[in-house]
Amino acid sequence: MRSLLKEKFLLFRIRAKKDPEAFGMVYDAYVKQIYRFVYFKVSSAEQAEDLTSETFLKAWQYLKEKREVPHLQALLYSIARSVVIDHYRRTACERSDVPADDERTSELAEAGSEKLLRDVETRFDMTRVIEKLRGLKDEYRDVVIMKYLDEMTTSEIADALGKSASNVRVLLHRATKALSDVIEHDRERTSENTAKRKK
Amino acid sequence: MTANELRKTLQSVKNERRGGAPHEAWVKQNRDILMMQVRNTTDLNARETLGGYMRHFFGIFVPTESLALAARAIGLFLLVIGTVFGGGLVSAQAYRDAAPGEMLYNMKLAVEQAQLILAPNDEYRTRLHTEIADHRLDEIAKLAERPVEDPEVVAGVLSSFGKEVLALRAGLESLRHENPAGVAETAKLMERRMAVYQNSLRQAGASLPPSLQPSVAGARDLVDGVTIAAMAVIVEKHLAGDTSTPRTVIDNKFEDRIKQAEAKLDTATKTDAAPTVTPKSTAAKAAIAEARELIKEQKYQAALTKIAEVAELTKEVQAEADQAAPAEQVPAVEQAAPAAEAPAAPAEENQEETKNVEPAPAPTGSSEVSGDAVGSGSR
Repeated sequence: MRSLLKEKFLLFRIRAKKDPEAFGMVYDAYVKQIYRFVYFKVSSAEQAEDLTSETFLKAWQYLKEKREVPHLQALLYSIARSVVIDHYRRTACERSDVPADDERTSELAEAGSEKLLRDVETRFDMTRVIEKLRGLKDEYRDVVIMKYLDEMTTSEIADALGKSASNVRVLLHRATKALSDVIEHDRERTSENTAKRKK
Repeated sequence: MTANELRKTLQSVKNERRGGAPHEAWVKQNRDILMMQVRNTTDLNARETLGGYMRHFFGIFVPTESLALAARAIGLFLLVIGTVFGGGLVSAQAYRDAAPGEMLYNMKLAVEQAQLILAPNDEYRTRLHTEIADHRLDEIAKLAERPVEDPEVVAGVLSSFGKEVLALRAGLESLRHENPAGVAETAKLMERRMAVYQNSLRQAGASLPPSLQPSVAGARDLVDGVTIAAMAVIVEKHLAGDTSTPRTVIDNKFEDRIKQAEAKLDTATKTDAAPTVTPKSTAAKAAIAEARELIKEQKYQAALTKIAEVAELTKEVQAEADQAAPAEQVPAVEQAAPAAEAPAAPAEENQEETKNVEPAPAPTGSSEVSGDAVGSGSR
């Protein structure tokens, strides 16, 4: 949702008229972003789905209580963040950097074969980027996802993360560099292993 | 991998599951469930009032806090205008002269608050706080002149005075950061004004019943705190090479301050007949002696720390003395002869009298007087 005015009117409809349809429109606009934000913080798609649902339900309750909402998108990200934290508190387990999702495991297994590795190099690159992205520290990962996957502007990211625009630019630069470095390192290690196996 | 390659790779997976895209089926199904939950938790028949609609409408575009602030300022403005035009100038004068406990006194407080809210900058606000503190002190003095009927009213005014003094301290701190060039002048004026406040509070305190003495002592401690804060600014500026505060001025101010501390300590240690010596009073006296030495050596920062230590120790000595003789306080006697009670603190009185003379150089037309940014001059 890019129009601030439209967002303000939706907020008005939700708060003054308690219009569920207006909230539905908010859901349509933000569900993918919020899901992605949660997805990279948990270990399975199912957990991401549950936590995304919880985020929107909490957002509705928050809006219903008529509290101050300067920015809807920032509110949703903030709720999502606390929902994820609560989730980890509840399950008392740490975030796994290596995903346990079947879908992703099968992709890795697939790419494990040497022949397939060559055949699907691009595909493996993608997998590698995603896996390394998950290994980044939280604030780096968030900023990369918001910028490159959700295509948010710097000011939108700044609002969502509660940081200044210049801070976000610096974070993005550092995050991109960190991700590139770790991918390069991984790539070099893979080539060395392949060479060893050939020998 | 360059940033561009990274971006391309990430964007190529953004619509895939591994790129964090949700199942379309789940998105739709979850929407239906969410809408159902939303409808179940909402009373759709409950109608918002027109006022509620307006509040939401404006509240969404303008933060509620700003709206509330604007409404408050407008309300107060209308109240004042209404009072002036509704009751004529007589009513305006009436609320200005209203004493604590009177019906129009709250109006007076409201107008003061409105002035503070509408103050254009920190310097002006600090000046207003000084004027308001002056008003509170006048009220305390007037209340002390007659037998106290309702101690709570006096305690309330003392507490309001304390708040203004704290606001003055905050104002000084704020000026210290925002206007470092002009803060020394303000600090000097504030230090003098605090001496006047100390004197007025001491005089008023002598006439007030024992039950109010802790409140008076509390207010005097706050004034002490501001004095020390103001002196800290003056010392800081002096050490930074500010020529408007020569060494002699600093030394005199420290000397006044030490005499005042000694007088206060004497008062705290003196009971009915003989002075009481406690470890804390000894420590306070030792700290005073150390402060004197430090001033001689021009170690002003350290001397200031010592003076603050003396103030704290004096407070503790006073508390010990209060605990030791609670039964001796007889309100009726105290109230009947307020002026006669004073001999308990002759030294302090003398010192404070001399101190009270200090702000007088107004007629000399010095720069310190012309720049009276803090005081209203009403005292």
